[in-house]
Amino acid sequence: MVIGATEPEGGSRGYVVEAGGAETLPFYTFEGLNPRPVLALEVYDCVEPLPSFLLESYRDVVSNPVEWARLVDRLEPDLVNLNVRSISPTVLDRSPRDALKTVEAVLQATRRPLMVTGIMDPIHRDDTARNMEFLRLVAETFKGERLLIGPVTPEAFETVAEAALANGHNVLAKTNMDVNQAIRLNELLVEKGLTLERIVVDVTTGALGYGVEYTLSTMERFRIRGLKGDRMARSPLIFFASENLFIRELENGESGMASIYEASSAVAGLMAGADIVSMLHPESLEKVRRFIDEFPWRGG
Amino acid sequence: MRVSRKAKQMSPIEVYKLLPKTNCGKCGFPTCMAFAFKLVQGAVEVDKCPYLSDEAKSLLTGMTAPPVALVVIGRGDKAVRVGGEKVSFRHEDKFYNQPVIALELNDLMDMEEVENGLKKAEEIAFERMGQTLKVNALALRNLSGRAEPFVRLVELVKDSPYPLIVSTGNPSTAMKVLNILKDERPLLHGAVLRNLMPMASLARRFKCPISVKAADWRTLLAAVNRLRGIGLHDIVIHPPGETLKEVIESLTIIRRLAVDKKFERLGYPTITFPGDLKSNVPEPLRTSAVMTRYSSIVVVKPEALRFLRPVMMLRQSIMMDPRAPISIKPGLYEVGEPTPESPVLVTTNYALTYYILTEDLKNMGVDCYLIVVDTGGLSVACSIAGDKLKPESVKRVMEETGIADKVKHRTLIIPGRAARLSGDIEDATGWRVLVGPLRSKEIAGFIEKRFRQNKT
Repeated sequence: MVIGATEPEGGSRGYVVEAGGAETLPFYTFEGLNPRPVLALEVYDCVEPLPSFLLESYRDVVSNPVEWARLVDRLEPDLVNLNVRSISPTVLDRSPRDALKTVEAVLQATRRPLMVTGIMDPIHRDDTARNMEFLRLVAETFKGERLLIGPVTPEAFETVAEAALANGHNVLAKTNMDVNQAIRLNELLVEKGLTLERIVVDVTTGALGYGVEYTLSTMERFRIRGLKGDRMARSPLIFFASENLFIRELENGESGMASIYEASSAVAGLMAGADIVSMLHPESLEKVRRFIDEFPWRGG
Repeated sequence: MRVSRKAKQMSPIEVYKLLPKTNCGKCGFPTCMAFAFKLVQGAVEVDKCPYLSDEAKSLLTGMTAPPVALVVIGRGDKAVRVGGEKVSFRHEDKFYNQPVIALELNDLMDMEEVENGLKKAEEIAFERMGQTLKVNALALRNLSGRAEPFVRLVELVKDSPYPLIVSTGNPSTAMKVLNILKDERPLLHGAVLRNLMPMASLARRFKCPISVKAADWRTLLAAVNRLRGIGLHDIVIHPPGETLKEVIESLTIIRRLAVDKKFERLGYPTITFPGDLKSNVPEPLRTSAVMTRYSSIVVVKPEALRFLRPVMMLRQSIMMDPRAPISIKPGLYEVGEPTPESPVLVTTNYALTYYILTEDLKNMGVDCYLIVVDTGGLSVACSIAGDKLKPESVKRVMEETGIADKVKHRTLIIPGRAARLSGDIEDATGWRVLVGPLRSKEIAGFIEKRFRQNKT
């Protein structure tokens, strides 16, 4: 998967990032080398409430996704993940069209490849429709930027898949901790015309003790099937380590501890085959980067 | 008994040929053939048949023995089990014994440092989903190079509640501390090729497990061979490697060869010291990494205790059996002392959901009835997404438990995340449905505002 497009390619990014392409099991360095995993840092257009330990890092930018993106840009992640939750009827009920302004401004604030996520966790009845509308608009408006947009789910994927296909973007396919569901959604997306290297698979939740026990096995099974030749299991995998920062054990937690939760889970995700890891705490990014640096990767 | 783990997987017919063929039923199965099938599945112990010849017993035990040997460290209440694993990937079966986290103490520390370490280890233990997450052992290291300080350290901690790993390269020092620990079954750590035979004879004499370290595979295999040659089988391997990359490689190779190739000389549990590796990664992360890659024992420095909780949460996650999520029996539960006026809440039978919800309800002093629905042990979010929280299941639990006779009202409160099921649940049960808050901490306020005031 290639995320981002430079000016000659029709986009406005400073560089592009490649994710996926594993040829062997994760960290089987004695068998062969896989490409270096991609580390994403998240920017929220609204958070309620941001865990207190993150205020140390993000206090000044909390209500300003553009400034937040500038700050994150300086921390040098491979990829920026802009999460636009404000569109949810239960959050701010902002109109998807209006929310495009935020995406536009963030694209100007950073030249790094961008991932745009809508409502990751649909709760309200209208969340899914809202999410689809927003992602379709993003795909159309930012044609050529080769974004990664999502989530799409088995229940709602068609309009976004079509828009991503027509406008040259990648999609994030989210299913629920079940390898067959993940493969099924890939099949549905491929039927729509997307190729497998344009789908990143999210099997849900990186939170330690809150579902990661299933996620890790699902990722391993997906990767093993892909390596064994199951074509529909050949997409890159994404892992949201950031979910750890919202668990109950970290309420009133302190910053150092929080980043160990997030980074520990990221390490476990990488060990299970994650090709992209999305994080929120700046210190976790640094720790996980150091971890990755201690292993050899294909192409250096 | 000497067990050959090389014994290949046999077919039920081959196994049947080794059985008495009397269909006596002593094993609990009606026929020897039925017993043979169960043996092949690994679903029953070989010992259940009282009439096996020694040869048949050895062969069958070999067939059912896990490719990673089970080693017990410590004795009685203090004993911990390591190894005993059958697969490299959890989804192929499950992991049987959790990685043991051992706190490192050394004989250069003063008494206060040692006691602080023990105290901290106790402080970080915590309960989660009915399990206690904690440090499971102490690893004592002879860094002084002398016997007296090491003996003092052993004396100081030998009555602590932990099984011990004693690490010294000096056989005479080892003998002194093993004499103190007598039949406590500590893991004797520190054997390398150079001191192998004296250390091995101590392990044999004191009947304790022994771990062996080597810088390369050839030396390691030679050492394991020699231990096996003198009849030692309670072996723990300290895998080669000075960097995180090398140790991860070693651990992976050991497990894959043991499981896939039934390579007996590497079919043993492993011990690693992530804090000693040449690495710029914080120690808790290194520990997480080796734990996800099969390290049976991880030794952690006292400084790392502070950040051990996430590591222990990860360990609990790794050990969970994905085929059997920890779940609660579906049914009607009472929280506090509910009355006919009390609210009725609906939730899933995922153990974590149940524990968190009831803990919060108790803390808030809410008295209520809780309808726990069978969602296959999935959480609220997952069961909604996976369509596992069925309105008919809610109805069934309500009917079976007679909740209608216990309360005067006809109102259910469902989880916030189940909002889109509210109509269907109303239709199925005939009760009015209130969509509760997303967070269980907000339930008390919700009940006050929505349940009490809107009651009809």
